[in-house]
Amino acid sequence: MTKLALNVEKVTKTFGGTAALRDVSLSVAAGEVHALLGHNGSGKSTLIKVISGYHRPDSGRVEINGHEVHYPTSALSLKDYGVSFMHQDIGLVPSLSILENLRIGRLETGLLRHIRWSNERRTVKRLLDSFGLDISPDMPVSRLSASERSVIGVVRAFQDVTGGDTTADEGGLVILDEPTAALPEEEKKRLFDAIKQVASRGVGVLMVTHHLEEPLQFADKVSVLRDGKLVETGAIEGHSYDTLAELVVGGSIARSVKTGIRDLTNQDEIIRVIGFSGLIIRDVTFSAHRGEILGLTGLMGAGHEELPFLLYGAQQPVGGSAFVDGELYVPDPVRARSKGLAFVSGDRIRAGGVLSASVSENVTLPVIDTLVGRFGWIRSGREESIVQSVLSQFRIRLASSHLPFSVLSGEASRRRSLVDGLAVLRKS
Amino acid sequence: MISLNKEGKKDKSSRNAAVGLGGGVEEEFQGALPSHRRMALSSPKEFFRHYTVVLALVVTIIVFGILRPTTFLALSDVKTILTGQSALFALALTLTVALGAGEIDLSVGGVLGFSSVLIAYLSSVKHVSVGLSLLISLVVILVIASINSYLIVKIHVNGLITTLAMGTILDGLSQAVSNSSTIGNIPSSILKIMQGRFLGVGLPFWYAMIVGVIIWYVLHHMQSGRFLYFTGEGREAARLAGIRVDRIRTTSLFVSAVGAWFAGFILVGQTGAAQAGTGDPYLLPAYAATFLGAATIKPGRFNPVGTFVAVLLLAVGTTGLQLFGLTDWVTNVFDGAILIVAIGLATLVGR
Repeated sequence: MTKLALNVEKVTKTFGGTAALRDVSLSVAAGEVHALLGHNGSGKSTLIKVISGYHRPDSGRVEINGHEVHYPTSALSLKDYGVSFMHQDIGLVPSLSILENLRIGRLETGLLRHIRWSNERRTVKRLLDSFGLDISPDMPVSRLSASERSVIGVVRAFQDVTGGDTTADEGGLVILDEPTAALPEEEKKRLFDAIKQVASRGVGVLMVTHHLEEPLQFADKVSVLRDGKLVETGAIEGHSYDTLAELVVGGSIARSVKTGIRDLTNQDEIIRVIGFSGLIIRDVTFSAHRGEILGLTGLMGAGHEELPFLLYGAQQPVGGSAFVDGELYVPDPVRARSKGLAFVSGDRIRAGGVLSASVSENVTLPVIDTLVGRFGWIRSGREESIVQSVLSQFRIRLASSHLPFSVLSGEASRRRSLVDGLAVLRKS
Repeated sequence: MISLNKEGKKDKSSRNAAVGLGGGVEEEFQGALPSHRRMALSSPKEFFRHYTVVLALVVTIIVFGILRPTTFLALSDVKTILTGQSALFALALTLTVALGAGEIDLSVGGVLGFSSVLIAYLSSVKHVSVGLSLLISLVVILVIASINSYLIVKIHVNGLITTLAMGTILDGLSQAVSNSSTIGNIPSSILKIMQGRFLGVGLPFWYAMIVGVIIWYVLHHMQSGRFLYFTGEGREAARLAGIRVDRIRTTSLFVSAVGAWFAGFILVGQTGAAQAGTGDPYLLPAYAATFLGAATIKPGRFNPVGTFVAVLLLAVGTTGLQLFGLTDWVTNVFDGAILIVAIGLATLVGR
């Protein structure tokens, strides 16, 4: 009989009337690598937050290593449960050494509370060796490659749940939230090896990802969330990229996505960017036509994430020029709006909207000037009807549009940003 | 009260509009789900969340009324309190605008003191005409506001420190101008403007109320108010949404400075004298009132109606305590305690 590192039973969680999780049950056995798949908004991050004690589920329960999670829970009690989380950004301090990053909070001290550095160095060296990392414990994290950092993150999570003992078989649970997001393809294997190693020492691993091929490479089990419902949980055997894709997207949508390539060459050019430069990008030139969807991608830090900010004027470009509809356009958010440019930021917390303002205020922000009646009075009736139609259009259910924007879960507020964009475009 | 009526109306009209739009979905939304205001009134928790400070005011009045029935509930007392708090009303209501835009302006005490000394000095010592005295002092205050906002908004200097320093500079300048003594002999036209009464309450109170209604209208019912709150609550998101954030921040700092100037003007007229340092005792109560106001009516947001109620609570509280023979020190203790309670409450109800 295997011990369960994690047992989620019939968890349901709703936010302001929107069900983020519906009756979700899944379990991770000790020593098992369990992949959790789902596209954005499927409820993955909500589930992780329920497990980490951040959100209290409306119903259902969560057990970690046999301890039931009580809400609200503290980071300290989670430590007692034997669970450790590694988030996308890993959470290492770049200027500090590997040793300091790994051992902070658990440094061995002697008489007079001084740190026993030589003992510490030995402990960390042993730990690193056991993961096949031939790096000095004194190396600052800033000098490690992306994959080395992620491995250090995994090592730290492992150490947190087992106390760093490489031989003990105490179980424990490590949760990795999209650990490969910042990794180039060829460096992922190192991380996977480290994860497998953690599992081989009796720790349960739950790894959140939206890369379908990853679980196939090294997971034992896979669970798939879609629209807050668990649509699959079981062994990875018998699954292929296609079966997983169908589960994640849902069969019908998968088919409709396949549209043919359209010929847009005779369409008007809507935007032309010449020699754009920012802090990272240099001399970028491209153009896009009406009706075109232009994708722009690159590895983390390659600069593709900078371009929208430059183009929208959220950050000042250092060089280059842009033309919208054939007219010169100097990037600036106010001008961008009047030119019909909209910006949906990936940074939902900071740029997606104002969390303490109401949903209604956030939704109508881009079109507020059309709602103004006599003496500048905002016509709240019209405002409310716009808000309700937008909410229903995006299938967001809310008890009241006057609730603070923060009640929408991450995905819903991203949808709002989309609403923003649509509203601006419709206006122009 | 004002807020309640308004929301009630809003509620009805929004339902009509949604039905008018015709979508079955909208109707379902409206039918199945309670509106915000109905929720606020139906659940006691929501009611308390919105009206804690109002209830506190009512309770304070009742308690003091029972303990000191002859002196406290006299109508003349109410009039005296309202008149006496006029400067604080003007200051706190305009400060609400700056705080709403996310700007903490600690120079308002200094501005208040300096403008009162300047008005008195020009009109009484230098015998400049009243109109010109007011104009010159206003221009000086506008220059100060420009310096504040240039440093804070353009150069991104820490606003807290900038305005704290500016307030201290102005305190020093007030001493210099007044030669550290009291300036009396204020021209009678200034006294007439500020000491007249309407419905038994001093005119300055009504001036402050006009200012308050304008602020309420702009903040709660106009596009610029919406933009201002967005700027205060999420500057980055507001900027990306195409709101002219810098302009709003600058304007808000001008509003608080001009409000403080006006409060200084009120004080000169009411007391018939001016001296350096009169502004400082107003700084803390103004902050106590705005923060306490942010915990009521529209919890989590600096709002003028809340500020109004909070100034009343402060005034009633200190007056009541003074009736028990507790002297001046009680004002400071009470104001300080209220500020702490206010930020605690604001944090709790804002969640």
